Amino acid sequence: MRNVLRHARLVLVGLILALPSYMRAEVSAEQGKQLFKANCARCHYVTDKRFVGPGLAGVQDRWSDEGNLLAWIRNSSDYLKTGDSYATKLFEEYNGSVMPAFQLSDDEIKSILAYIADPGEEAAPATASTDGAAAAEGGQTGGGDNTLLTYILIGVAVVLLILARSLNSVSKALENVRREKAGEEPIQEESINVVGKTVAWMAKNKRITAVIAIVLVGALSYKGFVALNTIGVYEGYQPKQPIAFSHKLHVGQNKIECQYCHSTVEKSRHANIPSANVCMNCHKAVQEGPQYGKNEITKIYAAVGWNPEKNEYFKDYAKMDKEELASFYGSYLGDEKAAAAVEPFIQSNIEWVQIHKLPDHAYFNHAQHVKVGKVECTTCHGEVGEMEEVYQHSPLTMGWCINCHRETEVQYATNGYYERLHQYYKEHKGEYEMREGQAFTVEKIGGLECSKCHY
Amino acid sequence: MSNQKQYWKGYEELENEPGFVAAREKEFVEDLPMEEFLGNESNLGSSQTNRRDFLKFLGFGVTAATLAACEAPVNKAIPYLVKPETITPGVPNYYASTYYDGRDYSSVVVKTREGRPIKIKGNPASAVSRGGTNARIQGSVLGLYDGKRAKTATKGGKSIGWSAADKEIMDALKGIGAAGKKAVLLTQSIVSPSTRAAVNAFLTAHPMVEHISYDAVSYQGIRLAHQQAFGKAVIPHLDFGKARSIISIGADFLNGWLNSCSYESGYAESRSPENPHMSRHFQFETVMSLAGSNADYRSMIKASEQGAAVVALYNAVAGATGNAKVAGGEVSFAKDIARAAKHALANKGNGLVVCGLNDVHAQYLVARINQMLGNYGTTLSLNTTLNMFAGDDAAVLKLTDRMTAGEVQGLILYGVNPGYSLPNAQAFNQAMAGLKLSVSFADRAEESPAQYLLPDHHYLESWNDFEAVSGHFSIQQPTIHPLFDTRQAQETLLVWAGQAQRSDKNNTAYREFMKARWVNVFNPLGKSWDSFLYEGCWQAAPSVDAVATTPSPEGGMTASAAASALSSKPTQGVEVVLYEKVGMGWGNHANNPILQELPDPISRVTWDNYITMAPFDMDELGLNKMMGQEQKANVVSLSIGNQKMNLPVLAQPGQAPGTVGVALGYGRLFGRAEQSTLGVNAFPFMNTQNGTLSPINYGAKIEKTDLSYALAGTQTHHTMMGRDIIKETSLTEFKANAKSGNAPKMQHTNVAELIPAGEHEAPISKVDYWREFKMINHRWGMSIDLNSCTGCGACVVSCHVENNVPVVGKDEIRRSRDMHWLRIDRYYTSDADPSTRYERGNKNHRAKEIPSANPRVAFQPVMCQHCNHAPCETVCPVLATTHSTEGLNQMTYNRCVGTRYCANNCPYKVRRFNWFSYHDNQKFDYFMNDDLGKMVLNPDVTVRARGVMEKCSLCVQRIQAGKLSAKSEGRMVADGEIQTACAEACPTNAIVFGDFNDEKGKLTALAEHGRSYYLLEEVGVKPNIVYQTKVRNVEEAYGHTVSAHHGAEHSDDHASDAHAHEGPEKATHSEHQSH
Repeated sequence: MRNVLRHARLVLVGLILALPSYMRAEVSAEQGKQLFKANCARCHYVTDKRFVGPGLAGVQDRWSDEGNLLAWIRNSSDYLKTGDSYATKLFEEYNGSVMPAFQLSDDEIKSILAYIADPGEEAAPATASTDGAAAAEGGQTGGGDNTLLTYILIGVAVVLLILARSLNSVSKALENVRREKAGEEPIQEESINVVGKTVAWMAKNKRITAVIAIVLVGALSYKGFVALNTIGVYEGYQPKQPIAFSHKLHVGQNKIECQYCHSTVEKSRHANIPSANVCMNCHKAVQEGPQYGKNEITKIYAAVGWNPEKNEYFKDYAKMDKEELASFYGSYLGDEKAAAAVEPFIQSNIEWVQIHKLPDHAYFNHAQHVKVGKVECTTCHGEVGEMEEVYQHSPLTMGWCINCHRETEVQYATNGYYERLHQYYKEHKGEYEMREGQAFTVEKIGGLECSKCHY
Repeated sequence: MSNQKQYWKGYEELENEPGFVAAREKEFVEDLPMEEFLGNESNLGSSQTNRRDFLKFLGFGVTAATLAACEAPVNKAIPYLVKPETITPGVPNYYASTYYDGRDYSSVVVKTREGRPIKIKGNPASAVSRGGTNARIQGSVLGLYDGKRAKTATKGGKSIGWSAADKEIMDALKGIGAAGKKAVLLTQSIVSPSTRAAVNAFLTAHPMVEHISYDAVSYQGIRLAHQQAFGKAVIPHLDFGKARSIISIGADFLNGWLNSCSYESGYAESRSPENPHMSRHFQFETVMSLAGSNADYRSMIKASEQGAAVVALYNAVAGATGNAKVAGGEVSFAKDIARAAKHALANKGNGLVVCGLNDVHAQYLVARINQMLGNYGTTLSLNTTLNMFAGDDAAVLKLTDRMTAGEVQGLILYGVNPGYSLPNAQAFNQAMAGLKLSVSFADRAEESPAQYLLPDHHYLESWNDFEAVSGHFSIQQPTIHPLFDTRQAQETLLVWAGQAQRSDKNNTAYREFMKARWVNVFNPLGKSWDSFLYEGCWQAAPSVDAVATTPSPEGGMTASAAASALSSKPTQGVEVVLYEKVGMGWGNHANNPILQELPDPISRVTWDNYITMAPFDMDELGLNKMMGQEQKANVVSLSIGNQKMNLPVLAQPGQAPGTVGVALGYGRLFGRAEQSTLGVNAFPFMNTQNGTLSPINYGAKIEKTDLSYALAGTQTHHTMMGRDIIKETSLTEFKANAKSGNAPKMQHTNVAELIPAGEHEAPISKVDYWREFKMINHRWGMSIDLNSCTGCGACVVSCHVENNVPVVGKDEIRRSRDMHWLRIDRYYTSDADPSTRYERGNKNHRAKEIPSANPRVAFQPVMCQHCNHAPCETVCPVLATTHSTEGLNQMTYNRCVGTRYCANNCPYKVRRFNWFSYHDNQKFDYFMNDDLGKMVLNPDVTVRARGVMEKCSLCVQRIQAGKLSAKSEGRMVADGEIQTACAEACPTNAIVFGDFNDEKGKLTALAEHGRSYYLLEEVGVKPNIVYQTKVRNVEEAYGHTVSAHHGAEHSDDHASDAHAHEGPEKATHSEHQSH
């Protein structure tokens, strides 16, 4: 069912995302406007007013070479490597904040530039994306209904079956009573005959019966064993989060490094969920998203106490009146439903739903794996950059851990910690050669031992 | 035995008490009551559960389990809104701070996780406490999460706002002042310069208030004596590290006497046998104390003879140094005094004489003795002085009368609880109840009946500074926001002085006050405020106001006058000595279950206090000397004058006959959980005859009652069945042969190449049934020096806190179910009586009773030995206990099914079975079952569930953390970088953790040491914990065969052979038995 849901959502999301691509046919200011709204408006104004990034009015005049400008827009970090003095100056002027990379064709960028050159009237902030959100939510509710419907149907079918059967037996009984009164033979129970016949057949063909029985029992046991093994395994677990944060947008599209938000991953056993002040680094400026508009981002504002109208934090936020704040954010959003969704966040914490959870008796340390073991985040968490909503990619079972420890090689030659070990194998060639041909895996240095993870 | 001495844990073992003999054969003393339950026909018959019920339960159980297993709980992950810059979830932070509660002082480092303090360790940068902590300081972190603490300001038990309380109290003070009466601010000895400034500010603003310092156990005699002798009312700073000859008359300087916590490391340093001048320690005492149990020569003298002992020592020293002798000092143990004096004189300028009597005369003579010996300037300093214990006994004792008379109409208590700790507490409380104004800053409603309770912060929530020893400063900083609506006492005083406003509960007012003092007024080193906080402690010129009193001319006391005052001591009746136990001290931590459950190092009893009595006296009274599950202690009634109390009696070898000892700090009834109110308050027996508070009282009567009382002792638990595990030798023999006392054991073998030339047996370490497993990268291990171990118990508490070890309570202790991963075995040793031979098969030690009256004591910390050939591992049916490539014996709780085979197969008896879910269990209402108490748990260690085995993991969580930080930095693990909780807590560095594979490491050096040996090496389990032989600095030899021939010292079974090598081991202790 979960898979069905995911597929449904994928199709839906795909459709939404595909929409703009239909319009990417040629260079036009109209298309440029759309693209600008989707990609650039978060950080730039079309006027010369400074925002997160510079105001874009006259941008083409500032860049002597259009090719360079296109390269810069497409992937600014790559372009910076060319050492272009203007780009470097710009980068430093804006305190080293990187413009994310965009997957736009030259024509598309040109159409954006065309729009910037002649923006016409200042458009009101786009609200169209709210519909997208509503549609997405609608899809989800539909999915929920489907599940319920299936169960209801099954239930109804079962009830009907039972009803039919009991009606049947009642009618038979009545018929028997009638026949008894009439002195006729009662109706022979067909089923009894069937059972009797089967038993007789089984008595005759004992070997076949035995084989069938063994196969049946074996198959059921195996099925049962597999089923029991999945208890407590939540691979694919994808709970609904309080804020519809899209990793696909942030990681996949905007190419933000995992460590930017999950900053403790190299220092601590925990890869932290970023605190709201980290969100605010960007979202002070980025006040609208491409998909949900202001709705989701405003939840962060409500938690930390940001006034998006004045672009400043409320003073003494914790002491402010909750209802006043609710009406403030309500009027800011201009949407009752969205306002109601934001209300629980006012002056409170953001309660994310934990997806990856190890049992308490298992000790896992992110720093050990990411910093020392140089394991990629995606190895365990999957392609998060492609996940609209994150789900548990790996089973996180002990077998899965152990398997990786059996296969992963220790980079002992490049880490001074393993010097003694390294030295030993250099000196004891015999033992070393015995191991040659075998990978020097985590298992070989005791990575399967109990107290590496259980204490 | 390796020598002819016998080692015994208690009278049960010495006399082979049948219950003890039966119990020691079993790892688990109690059988499961299977027979009892199933064998009872009528019980089973009347059982209401029939087949249908059974099926119903079964069905329900299966369904419930299935449903529960399928439904994943939804967990919330709530990040900070604004993450504090310094906090990284999962990474501990450390803050330098200071512990001071009027009794103990130590510079500490506090470990916090996600803002919660979870562990205390000593700050090695401190020149005073030198990284040392004691059991109480280790346990103090749990006090922060004590649910019984007062949560806000109250008046008469009802909540009152802080500002309302301030106003009412100020009005009352004004009223008292207007009427021309007095109010008293009664405080603990204040060693904090800023607190003193705050107190002074308060006193200036309210001239009707008088300040009196009060110590529940007083050392005023030392100050008064130094006033008399040198014109300075000071307590000198003591340096045990420089002492080569230590004489203590009744002073337990390792636990309970002055700033004992900071004397331990120096003491241990002076006693290292590798030290060219290993100190010799003579102890003359009444109750078996921690210091006495570590002494080379311990003389058992009556309390009333301690004064005479001082005089006798004075005369012995005076005679030899050409000074005039004084009259008196005739003692029956003159021989012992002469021996001590001789040694002290031979080490002039490097000796130290201390005395536990709170008596100006005795202390005057002691000061003169030290002066004659030239010890001032080396081991004692008159310029660097101890600022603690500045109490004024006379003023305190007068206070009750002044209150009754109406002269004093207001009382403010800070850090003291006279209603509990004064000998006339009852009268005091009555007087206090009648006062116009009474205020207490205590952290909970206590015995003293204060109208207003204005709870102070816990020390981990407070700002403060300290100068416990002049010129040595230490800072206290909060490590957590105050948990409750409390206010630091200093801030209260400042508010009352009109110098601050109540800001909020974070007491920023006092912080600013203190900061201004340090940064602007008192900053000799020109340091920044942050560096003060970072370093925690530093040395500087003493603060001006730290000198307790201005120098005044010497008093007119003379040695002969002092001696004659000492000679007239009453000796009628029983003498009572009040002493402090390691866990409880003065009772400040009475509600701390970890400290309550810490076995007393000497008696090994938990949760109670009792009368310690000489076994000889117990026989006379017909009292039961045994302790065990079925053996309840007899209760006697002890009375002095009209003070009377009933207490159980415990046989204490080494207790002077005719005297009894009672521990202070028990019987606290207020603000404590029920299980922490056990025992009886012994403070009413405090002696006030000389106008000072003295813990020695005379003329007591003891009457046997019909009552009996069950004490929960651990001394008979986990016994090693008299096997040869303690090894000791004398310094002389050690100097002649480093292996003396622990000669390698030999074994017959058919493998000829193992047998060294000229021998017919092979050393046991060479004989091995198993293939050796090579540990290439690390081989973790520990060295435990029996010579440095003073038995103080800090490691036990540290382990308890670090590893989430549950407290099981008195009842469970009585069932031998204590959960301590680390225990300190205490062995008494006494000479074999030559008249009875130790016969094979007849292990009755009865004949050694007389020498056993004053036995020597040895301590041995025992935890999992992490055997390379661990016997527990081979018997586990589910591989729950396995060996790691780093030498650790791993315990995997989740695999354990609780067969307990491993515990039964462990030769060291270090495995503990978890009988109950101690957490979240209402029956174990200690700290693991409430949300507040749980905050102390170490998040890196699993909280074990019921039905699993657990044991020392060698702090594997710390090993892993240490390895990770090395890996992250791409370097090898540095020696000493990783510390187990026990090693970290050890004030004497007796426990050293390290890597045997680190060739230059400290552990490798220790393992190759002549003194090193392994416990029960003959069983061939190859432990990774190495012990160091105890060396006693005694003249008499232990009688170890010094030659290379080891034949005589095989094992228990050959013990009778060992007698052939009997040395002149006699008269090593006083056999003084006067009554």
